[in-house]
Amino acid sequence: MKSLVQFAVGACAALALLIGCASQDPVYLDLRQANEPQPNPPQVGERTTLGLDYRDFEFAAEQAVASFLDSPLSVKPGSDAPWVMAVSRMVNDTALDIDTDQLVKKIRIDLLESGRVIATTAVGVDDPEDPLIAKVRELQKDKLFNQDTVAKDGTVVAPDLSLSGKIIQRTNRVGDAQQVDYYFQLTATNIETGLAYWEFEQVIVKLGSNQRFSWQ
Amino acid sequence: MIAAAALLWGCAGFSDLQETRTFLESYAVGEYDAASAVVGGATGLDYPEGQLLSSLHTAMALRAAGRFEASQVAFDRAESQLLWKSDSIASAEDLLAAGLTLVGNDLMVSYRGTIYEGVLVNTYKATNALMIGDAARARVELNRAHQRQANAVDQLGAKVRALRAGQEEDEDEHRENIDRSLDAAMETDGAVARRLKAVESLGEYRDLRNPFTDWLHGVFRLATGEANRASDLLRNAAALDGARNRHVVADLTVAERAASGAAAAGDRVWVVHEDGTGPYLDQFRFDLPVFLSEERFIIVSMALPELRPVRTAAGPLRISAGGEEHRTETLLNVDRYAATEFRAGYDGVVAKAVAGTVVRTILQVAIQEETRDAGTLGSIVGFVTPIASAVATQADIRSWRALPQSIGIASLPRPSDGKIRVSAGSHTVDVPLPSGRFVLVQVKTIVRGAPPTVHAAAFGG
Repeated sequence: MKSLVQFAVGACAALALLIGCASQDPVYLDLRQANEPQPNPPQVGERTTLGLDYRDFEFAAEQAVASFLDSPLSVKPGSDAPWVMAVSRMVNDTALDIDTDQLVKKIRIDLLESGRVIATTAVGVDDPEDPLIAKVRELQKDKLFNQDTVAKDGTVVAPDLSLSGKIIQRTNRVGDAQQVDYYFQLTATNIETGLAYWEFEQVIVKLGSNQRFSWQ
Repeated sequence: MIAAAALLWGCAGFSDLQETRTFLESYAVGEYDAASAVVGGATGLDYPEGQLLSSLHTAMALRAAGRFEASQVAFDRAESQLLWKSDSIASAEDLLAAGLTLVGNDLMVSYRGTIYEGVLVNTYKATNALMIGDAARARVELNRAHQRQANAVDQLGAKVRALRAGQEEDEDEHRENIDRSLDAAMETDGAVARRLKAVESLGEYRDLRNPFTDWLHGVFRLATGEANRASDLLRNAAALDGARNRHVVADLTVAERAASGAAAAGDRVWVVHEDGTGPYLDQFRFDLPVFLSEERFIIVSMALPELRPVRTAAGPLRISAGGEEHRTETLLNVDRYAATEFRAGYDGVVAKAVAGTVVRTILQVAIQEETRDAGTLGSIVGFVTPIASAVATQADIRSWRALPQSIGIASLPRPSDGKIRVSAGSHTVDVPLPSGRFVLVQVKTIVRGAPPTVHAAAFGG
């Protein structure tokens, strides 16, 4: 009987949410959590934007890191050293003007703090994130510089993990409202073997007025 | 009085029309830099950012001139003016500016754009991004175009409802007079009916969905290794086109084979040909009886817009590549695309215009009768009201005039010698292909006899 009452209350709340949304600010409709909730995460029914904002990126990143750290392969097999991770392609497959670094940076910070992963900025999909690593080595023949302080060749550590991902958006009309689903998908691949050591997906679903497109 | 007249003629619509005329003097003969300068000076961007029509026109001139970054800025401005989705135009107030529907007309408010123009803005932004080498941006724009396409049928329904809602709001003491005049305007074989038949003869795109946008999105996904998504989009394009365009069918076959794992997509060259200038709105006048009482009526000259198609400039391109000959085939007929939206809303436009004319005429007659003996004031009012009436009975014939008449495509394997030869009419252009597995070649022909402009960029792979 108690569960029936709970179901009825829940159904009424969801119905009220659907009815109310057409004319109100967008709200979170679903925030399925892959892991334990972080402090102050977004709540279902809380006001938000139809696009993605910093709280969404923080939420997705925290969930991703928690998922990674829960994985047994987050500890490098047979070694006390941390994984060295390069950031591969991170595809924005939405209609939004977003910088995927908002997601990646938060993940990198949290992983670094965990002590299990260090990111490299010497390698990137197109160019190195930090071109100075190579450029500084051009000073090896420059008499102006104390050569003992110039970085030597053969010292840069190659990555053994590659982080890639995609943010996907799907939009559907629900009555007079629109439902926008965002999928944060991430993969960590062991570069030596090509095997995906970790896979992650976080879904964020928002429901809001159909008056404007999600990117506006 | 002169100031009053100047005020009326200086409203948004008339300055838009004047700028469009000057713009087309250069654009329609292929002088694209000069055309963008008409709107926005040397940069092409020095104009009030809120002017949608200026943005649409200069964006097209800038991209035709190969100034893609500047074109993107203008398109961004245009897109910021094309914000509405379906629900936001669910009332006559939103669509036509409250209070102006009966005492003025659409020319008194800023140009608001159409649904299909919104789709094409994002489609063109995607091609610009590819030309700049920004595939990530192209992906976002294609996703936006996709959402606009998916929403178009709802948006069109809302637009038609909004136009009809405008009629309902006008159901006042003149409703009977309006209905009698409307019956006369819509009579079979009348001026309006003849023009409706002409528009209907252009055909329509189901759900106001254009196959070119789906095809472009499809080949982009093919080039980025997303074969499943590519095959879905290309299947859409083929279905919308009735599988008439053999290049689309060929691309769909490639995508399906890649999706099934049978064979990876080989290196390809896609040629997009924008030909001619697109349809435009013209104004036609006809005599409308306005019933002042049961027995008394007067005839007024009423203006309505009509859609006029324009012919292509060069016809299909001939393409030589690696010893093979190819021809572009039309994928989007812009006349038909524009006609689809125009026809859907036309009954509402006619009804609104007739209602406006009837109410205005009745008011004008009443004012003239009341001020006939009012001396100087009466003569001033008597002078100004015909001016206001003349302005208000101009049809709103603004539209995005820089669109092509048609967009054709060709899809061919990348030739090993890395070049293709494109022939448009009597002109032949050798096009060196940039290195890369997939290349987009954009060809624009604007007027018969003028050389085509060609831009190429590699992407994906």
